[in-house]
Amino acid sequence: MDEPDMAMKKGMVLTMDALFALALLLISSMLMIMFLSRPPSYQSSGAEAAGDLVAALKSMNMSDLDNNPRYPYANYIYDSNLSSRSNGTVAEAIADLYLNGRTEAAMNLSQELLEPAVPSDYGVELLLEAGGPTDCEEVSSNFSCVFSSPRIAVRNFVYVGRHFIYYNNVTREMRLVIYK
Amino acid sequence: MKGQVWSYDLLIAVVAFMLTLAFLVFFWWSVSAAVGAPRSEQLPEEARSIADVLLSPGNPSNWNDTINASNASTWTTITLIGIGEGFGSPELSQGKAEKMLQMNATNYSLLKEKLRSDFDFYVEMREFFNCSNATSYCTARGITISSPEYDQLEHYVLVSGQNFTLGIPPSSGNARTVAVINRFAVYNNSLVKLKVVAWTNQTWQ
Repeated sequence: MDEPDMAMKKGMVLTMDALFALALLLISSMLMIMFLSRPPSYQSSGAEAAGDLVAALKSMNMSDLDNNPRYPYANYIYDSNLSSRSNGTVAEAIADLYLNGRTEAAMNLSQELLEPAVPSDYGVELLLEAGGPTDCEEVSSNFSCVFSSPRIAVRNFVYVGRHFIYYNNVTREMRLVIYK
Repeated sequence: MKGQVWSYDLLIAVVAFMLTLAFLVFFWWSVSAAVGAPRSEQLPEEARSIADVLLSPGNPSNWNDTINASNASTWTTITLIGIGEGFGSPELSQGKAEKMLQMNATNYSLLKEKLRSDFDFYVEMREFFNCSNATSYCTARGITISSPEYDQLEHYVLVSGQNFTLGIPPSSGNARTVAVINRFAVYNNSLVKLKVVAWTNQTWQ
């Protein structure tokens, strides 16, 4: 008679312990969700960056960059008269250098301005409508690759900023491509 | 035996009470978080909006000439505040940047209102240069070869000798959610990055 009573009592105590543990677990997990959960942060895309950087390239004048200690290569181009558009905008100078066969100078100037500005998790390339024959991805195109910094392999998001340059009676498109 | 049954009843009641209370608290928290709280998309939109306002010339476009930055009562003439030279231009005005720095030190809340923001904000302007190519310039700015900033490409833009930062950093305000947007412009003939952060302590739907 005593044995079943003891067993029942033991069972009840164990059940109560389990229920208590469950209640405490539920309460503590809910409190943790309440106080520790943080909504995600939002980081801007490159959509604005491509447009802004093209706007800057077509706004900054080469003559304004002269003696600017931040841009030693632009100083060198200006001082050595490498570009016939030394009094024009940076975009015009880049186009002029490229179209006159000074492709390395065009690349270095683009690199000096663009590479540090574009976040390291984005790839960047500057293209000019100069008859190709291939673009920065080695694909047959009417656009030539002036500068490319392929810091990432996959292109899930691509943002393009465009500018049109009138050069030697031809209107040419300059494209800044930022991708992630 | 009677006493034991009573104890078990009490224990079951306590457990049931704790569970109900926990669910009620969780339900209450969920409802209070949802009712009256802003939608989560609002914060990135706000960051974008602050950046757009900041890059505009403001209204009136010569607002920096019409106010005393250290006297907030003179700011009433400003309906919109920005540091852009003109509409559609990426160039930023040195005079406006100086005035806005002073205004930020005078009255952050009113500056927030002038930027038409309901949320707290933080703005920093940085420029790009490589100290190994511009050693004398870096030395003049106090960036020596031994300082950690020497190897970085991004540096704060100095306006009237101080770093251009506006508002309150999210870390100082114990922010729960932040939205960051980076915009580029031209300041003092240099390419600069404006990092605009909108942040809040509020919970979200």
